[in-house]
Amino acid sequence: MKLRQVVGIPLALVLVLGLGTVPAFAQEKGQTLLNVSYDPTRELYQDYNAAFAKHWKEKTGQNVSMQQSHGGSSKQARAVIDGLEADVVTLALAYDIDAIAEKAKLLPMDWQGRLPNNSAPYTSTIVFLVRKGNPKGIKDWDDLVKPGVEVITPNPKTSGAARWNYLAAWGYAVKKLGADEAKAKEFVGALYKNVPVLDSGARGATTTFIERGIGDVLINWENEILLSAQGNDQFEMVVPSLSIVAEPSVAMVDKNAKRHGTLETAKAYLEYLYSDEGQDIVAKHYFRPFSAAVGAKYAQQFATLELFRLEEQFGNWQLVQKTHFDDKGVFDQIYQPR
Amino acid sequence: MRSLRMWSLVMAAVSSGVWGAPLAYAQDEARIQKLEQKLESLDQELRIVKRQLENERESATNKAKETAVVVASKDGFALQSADKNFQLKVKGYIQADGRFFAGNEPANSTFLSRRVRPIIDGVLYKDYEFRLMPDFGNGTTALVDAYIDANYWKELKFRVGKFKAPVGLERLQSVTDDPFVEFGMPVNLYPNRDTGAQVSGDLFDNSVSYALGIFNGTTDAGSTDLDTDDDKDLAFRVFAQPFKQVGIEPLEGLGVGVATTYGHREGTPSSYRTPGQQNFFSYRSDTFNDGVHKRIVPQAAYYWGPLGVLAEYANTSQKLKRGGVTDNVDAWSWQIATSYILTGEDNSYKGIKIRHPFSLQEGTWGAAEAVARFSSLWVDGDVLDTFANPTTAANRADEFTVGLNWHLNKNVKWMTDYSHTSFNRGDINGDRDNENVIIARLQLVY
Repeated sequence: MKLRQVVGIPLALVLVLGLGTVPAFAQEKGQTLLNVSYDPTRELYQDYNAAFAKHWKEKTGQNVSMQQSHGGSSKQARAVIDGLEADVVTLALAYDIDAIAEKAKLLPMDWQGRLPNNSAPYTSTIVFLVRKGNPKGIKDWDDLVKPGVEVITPNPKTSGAARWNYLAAWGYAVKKLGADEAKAKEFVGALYKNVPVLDSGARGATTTFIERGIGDVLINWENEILLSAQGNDQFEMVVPSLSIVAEPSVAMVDKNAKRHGTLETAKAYLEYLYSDEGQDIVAKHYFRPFSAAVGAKYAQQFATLELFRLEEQFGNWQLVQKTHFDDKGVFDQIYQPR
Repeated sequence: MRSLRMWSLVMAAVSSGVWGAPLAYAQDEARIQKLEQKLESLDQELRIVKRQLENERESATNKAKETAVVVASKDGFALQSADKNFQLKVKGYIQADGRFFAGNEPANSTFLSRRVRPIIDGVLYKDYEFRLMPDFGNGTTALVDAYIDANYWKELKFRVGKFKAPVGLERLQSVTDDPFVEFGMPVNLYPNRDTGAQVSGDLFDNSVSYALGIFNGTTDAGSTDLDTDDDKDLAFRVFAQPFKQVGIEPLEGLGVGVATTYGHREGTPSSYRTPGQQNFFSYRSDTFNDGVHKRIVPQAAYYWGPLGVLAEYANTSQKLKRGGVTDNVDAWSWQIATSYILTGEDNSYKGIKIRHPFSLQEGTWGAAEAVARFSSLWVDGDVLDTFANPTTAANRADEFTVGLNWHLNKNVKWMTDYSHTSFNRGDINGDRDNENVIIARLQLVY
């Protein structure tokens, strides 16, 4: 029997019938998007996903369901590089998304310019959480380096939040104390000398401080601290005089989304974060919205403090990573485990 | 004076009571406060130590999830990722035989390395598997198996490469699990390995298995790497265990099936061999395949407790040409093979689980198995003289084999078979001499 007779006719039948039915089948079944995100956004995306699904159904008639994955930002980026089939990533810092673009080539290197505000639909900042009554009188960053003060912050080599914490402390030393690089290094070194437990992620640090009762002050995302302090009179938020604009970034993972046929939906999913409804949900979960109008509506919720951007003080994430967080970088030089 | 002294004494006593009590109280308070601070500090230190331990344990658990594992066990040697989605297994088997002919010896009695097969099995991304198995037995080097599987669903699996064609029941059984040293007669009539592509799957709670493949096509008992003609063979097999889930224990181990192949063949047709591995039938040197070659192989197996029975019937029908003569030539074969585990372990198509492996220290002896088989093969006598030489090619062979196997443990087995084969024709004086052979084998599987 000739090969073409054996294979050709059945193959043609399969192609005609199969390809003809797939679009109809897919349309009816709906789409699923995988959003790979960092640790503190679980509650945010639970609400946002429901809102987007409703919006998308009304707009296109198509069903869309979201799958979420949460974890330390760098770890999540590594998972996507290693094959986790994210359609979108919503991570703690642009550097982690840069790593996906550079190492796995899943999206273009100029991804940040595709959405407003450098692809940061919401921001946060870094503040302190202290115990009720603020027994150690913590008011600002320089109180954290005093002897006898125990500071809880995660490891900046594994946690995106921890890198913002570190950079905020460094920025304070430079801007407010007029420190040069050596003095800033000494300041941040003194802060980390007061860290008794270095958790791997922001949620771990929150557990250490709140549930295990360790430390006098927790440095963390403002949105996490507002969430922790909500309805909990055992703790108080302390806003330092200066902090950093922490910009979690969002991006489509183009190659994965194209392969899944979800590119259009993924784009709409991220764009909707900038809509009025998206920004409202963001603010309800204590993230600072990009929208000025929504920001004004929730102004009472957020403390007023002097903020600086990473680019002003440090240039860009590549420089920051190389100088501070790579092996044998500044952090390795200043931190000695207890 | 005396009253003054008295008065002074009284005053001193009173004042020490008045001023001394608050002082002692203040000192006690300070000490208590200091102790409380110390306690608080110790409590913090303890919490810190506990939390550090917690983090270390979590880190170790996470690391274990990502750390590759090296395994060395009775199932072989393996390197696998923590999630088992990536595995590399090094396995294999060695069969060291002794073949001793009695009576009119058709060949030299000999020791031989019957099969020496290292195996590399791998798993990639959980769904993709591969096997590489060469053979260095009989002093030759050959690639026996080399295939890739894509197993997305158990109902639909894909295989491409060189592998056992989905036809004969005894051939599909692993040689390391076969209770006989050498195959029965039907194995002569269906393919060994072939190169091609196959879809297969297990249906209805694994009670039905099927396989459909397209292959280069091979002669009876042949193995191919390349196609020698421009035609392909189709092979289809279905095997069912209809009582597997019914709950009637004596019937659960009954399986029945059928396999078929269809193709065109050009080239030299196969010879047929005895259990002693001696050719008893060959076509004339100027006889060639020239047309349709089809096979049908109904088959059955039954296992219940220590009893195992395997039965199959094979028919091969091939168009042959010699000079100006072409004709269809059929050959048939059947076998019934039984095995019984004397030490009571459960028998199965995939070997047995030994309850008490051999151990001199513990006085345990492994498992013992008795085997017996009848099989027969005959070639269409009507056309025989045209395509084969009756003075050298026997058109019928009947054999029986009895044997004993000693399973020392999962990896080591000693087998001894006695096989007697009688023939019709195949000698210038009439019937070819009977073959009597004792074959012993020591098998090591790792």
